[in-house]
This record gives sequence, structure tokens and C-alpha cells, in this order.
Amino acid sequence: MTVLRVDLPGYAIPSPGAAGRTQPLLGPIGFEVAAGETVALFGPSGCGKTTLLKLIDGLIPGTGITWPSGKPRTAWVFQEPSLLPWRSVADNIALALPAAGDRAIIPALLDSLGLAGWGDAFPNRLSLGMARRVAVARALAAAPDVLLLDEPLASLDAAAAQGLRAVLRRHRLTTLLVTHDFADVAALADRVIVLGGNPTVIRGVFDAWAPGLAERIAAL
Amino acid sequence: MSFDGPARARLLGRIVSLGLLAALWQIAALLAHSRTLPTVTAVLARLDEEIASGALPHHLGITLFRVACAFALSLLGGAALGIALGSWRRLDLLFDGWLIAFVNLPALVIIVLAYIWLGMTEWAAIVAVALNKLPSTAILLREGTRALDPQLALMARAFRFGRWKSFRHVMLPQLTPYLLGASRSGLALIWKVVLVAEILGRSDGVGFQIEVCFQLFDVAGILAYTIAFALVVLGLEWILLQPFERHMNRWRLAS
Repeated sequence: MTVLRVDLPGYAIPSPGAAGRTQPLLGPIGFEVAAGETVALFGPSGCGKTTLLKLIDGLIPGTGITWPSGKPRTAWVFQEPSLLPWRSVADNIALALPAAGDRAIIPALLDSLGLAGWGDAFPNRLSLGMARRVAVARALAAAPDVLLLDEPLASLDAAAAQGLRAVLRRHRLTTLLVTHDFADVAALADRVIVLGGNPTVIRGVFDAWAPGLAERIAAL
Repeated sequence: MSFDGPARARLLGRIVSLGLLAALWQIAALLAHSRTLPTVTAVLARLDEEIASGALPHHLGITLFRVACAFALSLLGGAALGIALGSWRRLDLLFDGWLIAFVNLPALVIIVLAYIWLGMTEWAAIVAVALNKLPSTAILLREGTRALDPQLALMARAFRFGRWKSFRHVMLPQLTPYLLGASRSGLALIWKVVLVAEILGRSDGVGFQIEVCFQLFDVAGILAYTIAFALVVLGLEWILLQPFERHMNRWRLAS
């Protein structure tokens, strides 16, 4: 079942240094996402992947985004953990709970992410890897139908990235993953949409487990 | 308020510091032996008299009421204006010149004009004092709003926090240092301006009493009222503002 249909005519951003002028960032982009599928939006830094994700979630107004069954509940994991530094780990997670959400789920959630006992700590005591895991916990606490991951593994050391990939693999929600790291695609995605060009368009769509995928993407 | 080791050391330091000031004053007064500089003991005796007669609590209470009203008005109005100016560039362009003009307007001018336009009333005095502080509070909060973390604002929107939840949990904690700064400088300015407003147009309050003492060349009376007021301001700082600031900043100390 299709949960998301993207038929974006294009998107322009303000030109740096030229007041009132715009420049195209995204060209026409079209794809669909099925329920339970993890789709990676793969492309170089600055090509507009995050902007596309914001358009999809309605954080930036735009046209061409359709949720056939109605807008689902979404939750983000950003590249920056974006935790409130003045709130404890548990409070940060609690703020994302749905209106009828129960705080009692937080200890189990922290436990499942290897953060047992860290609920009362403030974020400035956490390493980047731990903060990212808290950000994942916060996203899961929001009980989302669709998970939006914006480079959630960037800047992590190999062990921390591997641990977080294992956590994300466990939760098979419909997921859109923005990344420029092939290891994330290989570990997490069912399908990869390769973006590139100026303005950015789709250069290719592949099954993530297709043999020789890295070479085929590199050849684009 | 906890009274642990550091708190006890802070209190001891303050007592020693104030004691040193009182000792220097006493020595200077004994050496000067003049009506214009009474001794600490003479001033304390006068303070005791004024408290016993009920005059000091009456006038101090009225002045504190004016300070509290003007402080609340200037802080709420200035914060709302500053946040609005920091959030909307066009509004800022429209009102930036007004703010610069108002922040540089002498307190006396605002007080005199308020008494002329609004009459010699209680609220004229309070509004005049509040208007003296409001522009600088607005400027501070405008800077604070401009410095808000856009990534946290994006997170709040992404998790559909809504306006009130975003304001309370994301915006307000970031603005707290600016609000505390505005509160500190606000209290310092407002209580001085309130006394001027009382001298010019009220028949009660600490400012009025100081004016009466001045007419009678009663320096002990002037110092007794000044000390009483200074003690209240110090009490507010130590009992309310500083513990609140420590509470709000406890996450910084937790690393």
C-alpha cells in the first residue's frame, strides 16, 4: 500500500547575496513509498535532501506531496540530536509523547537503546552517540507512523554508528532516510533513490540489496 | 533554600563585606564629627524609631508596591515587545528608531510628562517609571530572540509542539538569561526612578520621606530610609533572583 506519493514540480531557494531572487534547488522529483518500506534518499551534501524531507513533512510549504491515507504521525531524528539542554534525558523524551502518551514507557525505551539509568542526566553529559540514541528514543516515543531520519549516523565513530544502525533496524516503521553514506543505505534501506545534478533530480532508483549497488551508483 | 557549605560561605562573605563597610563608615563619622555624616549607631537608632512609629513600614510598603507594579509592567511589556521585534524583521524596522529615542530619553522628562498628561495620580507615577525601563528590556529581549537556536525551533515544529509548548519549553529557557539580566538592571533602575517620581509628585513613599528629611537637613533620616530600601533590594537579589538563577542554570553545572 502506498503511504506517500511525491510528485514535486521543483523547489527554489533564495539566492545568497541577491535579495528577492531565487535559484532552483530541486528539479522535478517523483517517487512513491510503500507502508513498512525504508527508502534512502542518497546524494552529495548540499543537494537538497533535507529540504526534500522537510517538504515531505510539511515543515516547508510546497506542492506535489500526497499522503493517500491522510497525513500520518511523523517523527524526526536530525543530524544534530537537537535535545533541549535544560531538560533531562527523560524529560526530552517525554516532550515528544503523544497527548495520551504514558511516561512509564520511557525507562523501557531507554533500556532498549542501551541508556538504562541515564534518564535523569542532562544532555551535556552524553557523548554524541548517546545523544543520537536519545534522539531516536524521542522519535520512537512519539509513536510515529513514518520515521524521518536526517543523516542520523553522521560524525559517529564506527562502533557507535554500528550500534545505532542495529537499533534502527529493529524498528521496522515506514522510514525515509537521508544520507550520503553508502554504509547507511546498505544497512538500513530497502530501496535507494539516488539524487544529483543541478537542480537536483532523481539519477536512479535501486533495490538496496541489489548486487554491485555501490558500483552502479558510482557509475551514475 | 538549602543551606549547604557553599551557601554558608556565601552568607559569611556577605556579612563580612557589609560589616567592613559599616566599620569604615563608623570610623569616618567619628573622625568627621559632623551633622552631615552621622554614625552608623545614630542611623540605626533612627531606623529603629521610624520602624517603631510605623512610618517606615508605611512608606516603604507604598514604594515597594510602586516598584513591583512598574517592574512587572516594564518586564512583561518590554519582553513582549522585544520578542515581537526579534521575531518579525519588518516590525523591528518600524520600531527600532522609537526604541533608540525612548531608551535615551531622560527619566525626569518621562515622569514630568506623565504627571502633566495623566494627572498627579498613582498610575501616572507607575506608568512613568515602567516606561523608563521598558525600552532597555525590549532591546535585551530582542537580542535574545535573535540568538534563539534555529535547530531547536525546527525540532519543536517537527514534533508539532504547538505555540505554547514551544514557547514554554524551547523559547523561554533560552531567553531566561536575558530576562534575568533585564530583571537585575530593571530593579536597579526602577527603584531609583520611583524615588524621583515620588519626590516630584507623590505625598508618600520613601522618595517623599527623603525629600522631607532633606528639607529638615535630617541626614540620619535620609540614611535610615536609604538603608531600609537597600536591604530590601539586597534581600530580593539574594533570596529570589540568585536562587532562581542557580535553579535555571543547574543543567550547566551538571556536566
